Amino acid sequence: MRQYSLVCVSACFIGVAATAHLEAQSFRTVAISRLMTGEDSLLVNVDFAAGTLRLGPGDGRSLYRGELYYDEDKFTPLTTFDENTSSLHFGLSPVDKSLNLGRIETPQRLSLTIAPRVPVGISATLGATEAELELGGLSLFHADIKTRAAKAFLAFSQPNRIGCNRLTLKTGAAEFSAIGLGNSRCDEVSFAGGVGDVLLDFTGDWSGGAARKADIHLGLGQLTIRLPRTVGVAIDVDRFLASFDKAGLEKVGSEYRSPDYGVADARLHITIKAVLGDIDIEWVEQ
Amino acid sequence: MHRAREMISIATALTFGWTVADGNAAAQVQSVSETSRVIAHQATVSNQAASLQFQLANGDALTVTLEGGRVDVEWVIGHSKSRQVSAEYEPDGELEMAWNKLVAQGGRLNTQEMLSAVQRWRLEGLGATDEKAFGAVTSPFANLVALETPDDIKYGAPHAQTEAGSGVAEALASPEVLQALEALKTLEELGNLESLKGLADLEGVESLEGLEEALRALETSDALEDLESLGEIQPGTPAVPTAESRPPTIRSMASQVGGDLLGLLATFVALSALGFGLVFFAPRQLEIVADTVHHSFWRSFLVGLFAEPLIIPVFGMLLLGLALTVIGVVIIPFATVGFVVAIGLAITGGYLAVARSVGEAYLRQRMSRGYAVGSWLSYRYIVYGLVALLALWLPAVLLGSVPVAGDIAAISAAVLTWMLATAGFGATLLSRAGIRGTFARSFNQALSDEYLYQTPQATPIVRKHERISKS
Repeated sequence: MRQYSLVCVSACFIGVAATAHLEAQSFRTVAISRLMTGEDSLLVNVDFAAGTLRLGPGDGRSLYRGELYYDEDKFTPLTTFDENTSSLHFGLSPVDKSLNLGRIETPQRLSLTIAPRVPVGISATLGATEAELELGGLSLFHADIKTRAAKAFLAFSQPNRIGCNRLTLKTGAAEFSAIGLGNSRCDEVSFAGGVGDVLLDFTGDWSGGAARKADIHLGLGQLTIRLPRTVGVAIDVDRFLASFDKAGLEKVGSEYRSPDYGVADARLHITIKAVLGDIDIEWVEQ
Repeated sequence: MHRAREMISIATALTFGWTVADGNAAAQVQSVSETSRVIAHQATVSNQAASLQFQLANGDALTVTLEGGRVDVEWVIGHSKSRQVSAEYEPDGELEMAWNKLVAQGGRLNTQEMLSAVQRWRLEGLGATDEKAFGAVTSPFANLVALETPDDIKYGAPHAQTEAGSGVAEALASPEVLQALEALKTLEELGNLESLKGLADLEGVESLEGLEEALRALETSDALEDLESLGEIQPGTPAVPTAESRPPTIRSMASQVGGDLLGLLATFVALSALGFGLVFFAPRQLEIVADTVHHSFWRSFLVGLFAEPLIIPVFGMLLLGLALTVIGVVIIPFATVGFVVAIGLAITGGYLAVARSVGEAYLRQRMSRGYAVGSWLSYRYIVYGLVALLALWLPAVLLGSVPVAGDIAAISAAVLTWMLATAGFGATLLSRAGIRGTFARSFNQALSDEYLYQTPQATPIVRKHERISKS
């Protein structure tokens, strides 16, 4: 009987503590917007420690438009715009740097839209987030996306409006998908992943011919590379305990090549370094 | 000199704030006209406060905050900041609620629309306190003007690739269409068509005009047909991959394994409950079926194997036979239910009997080694047996997301479970649902080790015989 009483009392305490914790959370919404004034370019720096993030092209009337919904006890908003460098710093910074952000704080969210016609460079550092990044249709000249423990989906649903120098993607323990990388029109795509499932989809607009590079490093996990058949592909694989599905590729020297690599207008040279996991190749008719 | 200019500006602003609060806004229009072009805004809403800030083209900023019953107006001019309480309002009153709602629109509206919304904002029927506060809230914004965004700004020459096949994409990405879609989205979120007029006031007429123009443009152009013919973009296609198209992940695999384990646990609980019921209500029958499985497993399996294909024909014959008589026709529904229940019980009961048999074999083995196994043996047999049988599914659950091994484990578990269930079904038939113990174990007279006991012999018999033979 005494044990039951103790259990009941403990349960009550836990319930009260949990309720108090919920009540203690105080959320704040911050929305920002800025009109275009003929900026030559825009540098966007996104820091988002935890929550849900959406980034994409805007309606073209604002240089950027963003909204934050966050726990004001744990985070402080970053909403600064430097007119001299045309750079926006947007996101959340934890009040306590030692705060454990191991899980995605679902209620928190960040949304940001960017003017499609302004040349933009994006640098994003994402913590425990679930991110949807639509970079298609922007005028992207550079992007550097870093995710830690995150679930991130990057898409180029429309072709990039301008040529892009480099697209750098770094993930920690994450689920990461990048769709339509062919539309990114980036000369070089670099991906470095720690642990997780990764899908890199190189479909998109390859018309006009292009020779692009992709540099892929993966520690542990499953890597799926989706390739359009219209593109000549050469893959240089350096793997330790990783399986490699070389479907549709033939070995030429030290690398695997698609049959039409020598005559294709558009070419993609991929370098893969993987330690443990599976590397799958999928071919897509375009 | 610079400092003096700032002080003058602050004084002007403060004077502006006070005077407009008194209803003399027109007097200040000229004084701020050069510096009041709005370029950006920031809206902040929390449980305690809601504030709206407009940043001006010259770097100055105006912030109006409603918090704790006070209207705070803050001007930042150059490096100087001035803040004052210009009025008080009723906390949690109509003014505060409407202000919060207005400021909450800040995420959906661009700066022009936000400024337009706050300038068109009207409230009627307020009390005297809130009426005065309303004037203090709105008057600082009265003379602000949104910066005109030049239409002829040209950013980065569009690439030839983009131009070649993306007329449709260009049409869809045009500001008019996007503006219209944004307005539609807001309408959809509000979900109230009656508020259309109010929304028009709130968002600015430009949006709705843009909407009409955009829809007309879409109707007259071949954009949608082009889209379909190109096959590039399907209506309703999400910009980011859907959950279905995403590859399986470690997280999703873990959640799947967790779900399957819970399913397995639920199955165990359900079968245990059924087993306990059988042990309680029909212990002897269950024991006979279990013994039949134990002693005549392959015979039971073959009977079950041959009986399973006959279930449906037997059911058909039953119905046919009943349909031949008038009374039979009446009892067809009951017979159908009874037949299904009987088959279900036979298969489930047979499976539980197999579990009991397995559990019994295991526990008897433990007992023979001298381990104490406690009381309630019949129930223990069921529990142990079910654990053993359902453990067959553990590899399938744990390897469920592994492409080949998972399939092999699942198929193996399914085949083994089917075999055991078939044997149980056959044993149920052989034992006539546990009534006939013909194929159960025969009575073993060696009930205990005492029958194996032999008295130690005092003298070696062989030697004695040898001695006798020698002698």
